[in-house]
Amino acid sequence: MNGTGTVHGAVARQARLRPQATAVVCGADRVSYAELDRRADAYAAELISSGVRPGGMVPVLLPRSVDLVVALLAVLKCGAAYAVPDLRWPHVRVQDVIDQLDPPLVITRPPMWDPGRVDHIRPAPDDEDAAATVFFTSGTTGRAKGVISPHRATMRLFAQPSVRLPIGRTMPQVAPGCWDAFSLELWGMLATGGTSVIVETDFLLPQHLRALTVDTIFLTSALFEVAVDEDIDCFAGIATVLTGGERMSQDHARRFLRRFPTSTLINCYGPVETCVFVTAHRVRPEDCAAAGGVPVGLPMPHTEVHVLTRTGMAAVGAIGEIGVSGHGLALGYLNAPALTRERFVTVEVDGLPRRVYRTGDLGQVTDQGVLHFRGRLDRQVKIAGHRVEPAELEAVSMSVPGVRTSRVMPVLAEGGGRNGLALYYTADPGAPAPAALRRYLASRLPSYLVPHTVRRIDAFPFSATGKIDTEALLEL
Amino acid sequence: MGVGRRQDDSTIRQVIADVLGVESVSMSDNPFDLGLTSIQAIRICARIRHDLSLDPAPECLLGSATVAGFVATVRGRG
Repeated sequence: MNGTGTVHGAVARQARLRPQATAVVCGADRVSYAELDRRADAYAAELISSGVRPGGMVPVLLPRSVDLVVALLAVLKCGAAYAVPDLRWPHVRVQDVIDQLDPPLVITRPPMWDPGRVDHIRPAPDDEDAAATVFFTSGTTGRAKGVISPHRATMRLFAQPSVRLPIGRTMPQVAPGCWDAFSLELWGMLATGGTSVIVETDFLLPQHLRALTVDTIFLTSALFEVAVDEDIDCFAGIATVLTGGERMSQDHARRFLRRFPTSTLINCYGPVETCVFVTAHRVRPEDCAAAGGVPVGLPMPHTEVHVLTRTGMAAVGAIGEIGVSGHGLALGYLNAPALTRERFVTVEVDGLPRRVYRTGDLGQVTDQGVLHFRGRLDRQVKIAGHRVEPAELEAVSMSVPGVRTSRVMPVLAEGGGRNGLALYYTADPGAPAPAALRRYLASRLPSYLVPHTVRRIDAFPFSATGKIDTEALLEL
Repeated sequence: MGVGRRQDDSTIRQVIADVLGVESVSMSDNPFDLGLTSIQAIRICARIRHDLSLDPAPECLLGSATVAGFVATVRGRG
């Protein structure tokens, strides 16, 4: 036991401490902690009688709603883990995710239960090291990649109030359930006695912010920039703005702090494998002009950051691969032991072996221990805030009969912003034309992975070193 | 009314062109072919809301096969 407790244990504790406080708001629906916990107990009994057992993984195909929260809590009370496939994904991708989970059942309807069964629930042992959820992200094999995250990874952020992550009492829930930001928004409130305000749209827009009464929000870096540009006053009344996912724009941070000098703006960093955030930094006016950019800051509770070289630890101030250890680490990738061994390694830290996740991100740590993000080691990019592995798109396109080789690159818009993906391919006669290939990809992949440009070429240009010359490709 | 609508249409096309960083946008263009991402859709809708007091949803732009289809939906809601 590490002492963080479980997610459902924390919610049950809040239900005892403040039974009548509002736990979840969704449109006209409003549910108290006592009612939420009671419904989840009842549905957990139903799930147990239907065969859900500790260690199982249960996909929940419900839209964001009070019912979704009840279903997720019930799955956790069974000792099982939930996964929330994105309902906007193509059907085949949802099906593939369900197949990967090999579940005892799939929840597709709002929770219902037999009132006679409620008293018979046998609660699962309170195991914070057990899997709580499976997040999904872009992988390199052509399938969505599952990341199995334990209770302690989520709970380390909320078990004690943290100066690093000053969440308030009300927060909107808008992130898709397969993202780790979902855990921040939902469990960040419900584990601490706050109110989760579920937004039923896909995006948190400035006009939504104006209509909501919340004191804390999380926005991806890209959405933060849009809100500052288009309607900066939408942030009025919000005490804490958390943002992350991409490098913070100093210009947007400066404009925000000038308009709201007493608000707290926090720049966060963390891959999904380390659950929500690894580090955070309260942005100060001087950061907005610093030559090195806005730092991503100091580690979260129960989290350590290491800068790695090929052979060991980098010296203070040197750039290396960011490694992360501590309670936030995922248990591993779903059904991918080799990939898990490659990314979750044992590294000697101060003479003791530690389990470390190799992020593939580059960073450097100042002598004060402050982390700066410095880019990627591999080809992973962010498209509209989504993590994208170009290799996933290449793998799916090369599974099409007749497509020989494909190469995917981010396309840079004027001004340097990233503007989608371009796919180039060589093919045998009779292979699909570019428009047909793109339609096929759109039927298999979420929209952010579908290339904006698809071009068939006779041969790839090669550089002097024998690698595909990507710059020459973009000029074709 | 007709003139106002035509002006609105050209304003919407101009907003889309500005945000996507292209010179001009025709009614028959597919927004996705022009490089539209969800973040850009949000930005376009925020500007249309500000400039024209119409209230398009980003999902609507993301789901439109043509600029004309998006414009028709926006007008229907306005």
